[in-house]
Amino acid sequence: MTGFALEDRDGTQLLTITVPGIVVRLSAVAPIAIAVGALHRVAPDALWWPSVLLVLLAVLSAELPDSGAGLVTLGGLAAWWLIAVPEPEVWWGLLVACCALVFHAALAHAAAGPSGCAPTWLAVLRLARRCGGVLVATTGLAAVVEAAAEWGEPPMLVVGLTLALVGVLPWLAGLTGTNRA
Amino acid sequence: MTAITGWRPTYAHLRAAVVGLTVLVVGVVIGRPDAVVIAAPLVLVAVASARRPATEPRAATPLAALTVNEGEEVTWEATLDGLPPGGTAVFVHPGQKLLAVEPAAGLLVAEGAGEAAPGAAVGRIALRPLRWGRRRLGDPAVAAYDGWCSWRWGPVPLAGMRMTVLPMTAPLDATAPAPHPRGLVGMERAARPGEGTEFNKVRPFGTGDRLRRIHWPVSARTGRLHVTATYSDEDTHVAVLVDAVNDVGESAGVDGDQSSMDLAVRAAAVLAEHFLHRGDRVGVRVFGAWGVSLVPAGTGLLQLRRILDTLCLIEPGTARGEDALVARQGLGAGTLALMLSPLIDPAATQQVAILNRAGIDVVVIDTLPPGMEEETGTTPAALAWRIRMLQRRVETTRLASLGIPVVPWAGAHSLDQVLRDLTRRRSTPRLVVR
Repeated sequence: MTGFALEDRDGTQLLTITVPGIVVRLSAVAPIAIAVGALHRVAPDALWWPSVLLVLLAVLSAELPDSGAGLVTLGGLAAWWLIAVPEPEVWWGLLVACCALVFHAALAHAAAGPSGCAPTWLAVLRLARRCGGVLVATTGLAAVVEAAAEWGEPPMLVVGLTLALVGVLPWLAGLTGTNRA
Repeated sequence: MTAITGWRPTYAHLRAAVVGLTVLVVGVVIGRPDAVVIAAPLVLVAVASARRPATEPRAATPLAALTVNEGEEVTWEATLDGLPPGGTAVFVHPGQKLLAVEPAAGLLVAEGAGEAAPGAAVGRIALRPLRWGRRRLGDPAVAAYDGWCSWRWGPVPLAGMRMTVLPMTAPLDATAPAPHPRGLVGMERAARPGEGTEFNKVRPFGTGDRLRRIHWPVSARTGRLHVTATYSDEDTHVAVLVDAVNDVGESAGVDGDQSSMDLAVRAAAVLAEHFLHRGDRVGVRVFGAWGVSLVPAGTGLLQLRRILDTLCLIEPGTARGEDALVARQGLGAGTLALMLSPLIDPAATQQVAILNRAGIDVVVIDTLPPGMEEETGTTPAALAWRIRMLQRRVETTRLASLGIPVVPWAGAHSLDQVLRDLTRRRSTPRLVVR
């Protein structure tokens, strides 16, 4: 028994509450709440209502994972961070990046299959390993950015990395198109 | 469900690409390194899943039809080949009334997990039918995702399974003999002497007696050969009559409340199994269900399977207005008729009376679910039900006065005492209509 299902007389499921479903929803809402908390820690004077709105959007995204709500939430979080935090805070930014990745991965898996779909342990382990790899790379990037800022070199290194990353995408898209053809 | 084949980007891919790249560019333009850090994981995810998977998944399920017993758990299995490296597959089996599915909301399986080959995933979902019957299950569906769930293939529906659910049979260890054994072979003690196992008497040796029957102590004492005579062993014709005109009460499956039809079908299965194991000939006749009427009497395990297959096809109330005289067809005097009925329809009582007048031993097994007689509502329907219950009580009292036992079905031991009484009564002279 992985959960509780409420059915009508014909056996149609009206409501399904499963342990994986609850975990996925928490994994979607909690990171946004943590990121918003970090924002208010860095910028104590920031307004509260946009943060509350973001958490509500996260709840909506958790209910509708296969929709554009997640995009709005994530975009809103990044925008609110840039507006509310006056000075660059790389390490706090790293925490927000972790939260954004967990939110994204949780929503992506919630959208795979019906609500409350039970993943096997191997699927969860592989996802965690993949996220860990991305977070290690992001931490490395944060360290580079922090070091570059301390050396007094404005973000030229970051600009270079950015251009490289953005340049890779069309190349990959071209490869994909070639493969399909 | 319409099959969506080919890989399509998901909202997750759109989210990672749009938010990641936008925040990255904005961060660079306004000189905010923390924005670059925030955008970095999303950009990495977008880059990692930028390529559309080149594989073409194929889904297959080996099971098309299955016969199981009520409450028995079976595993539905499907295989999805052609997953991208690190991909996942989602298997969903729809639920149905009185069918437990575990996990109910579907299963997400990693590529290459368990004994699956690389690039394949095997989904196993447990199904547990909770009620007898033949049914076609809903169409299961499978879908494939890449490692970041950025690309989706499917969902693709698979063919639903046809499931035959046989009624549950509980062991019945009743020791009471069936009345009127009248056959060739079996376990019942016949009224006449013959080859058997139960002792009759010691009598003088006659032509044709077997030597191993000689009773040596008596022969030595009397000076004449004596043999041990036995009663012959014979079988009984047992007719299980199922009243399927009405299905009263709510059926909640094998673990919950039972409707009258549940009680009747499960009781019929138990009785058939019991008498067939004793070597008797058992037949089944169903009233009130279209397409299911008669299983001729027979013996053996094959007959049990035939009876169970027939019972699980019953759809109550689909054939009303059958002639009550049909009940007597094929049943001779000496047959033990077990009528399973909630006694709601007066025709059932009429049939019992006809069988009784024909010299057939009838036992009525009342399958009205417990608590159905107590109706306390004041609506017209509740009042009508109470009136019918009063009439039913009068009818059962009349049956009892005719010597027809009416036994509520309370499990496998309900009939023990009744069968003993019938066996004892068989020596009593009776007046029957031929």
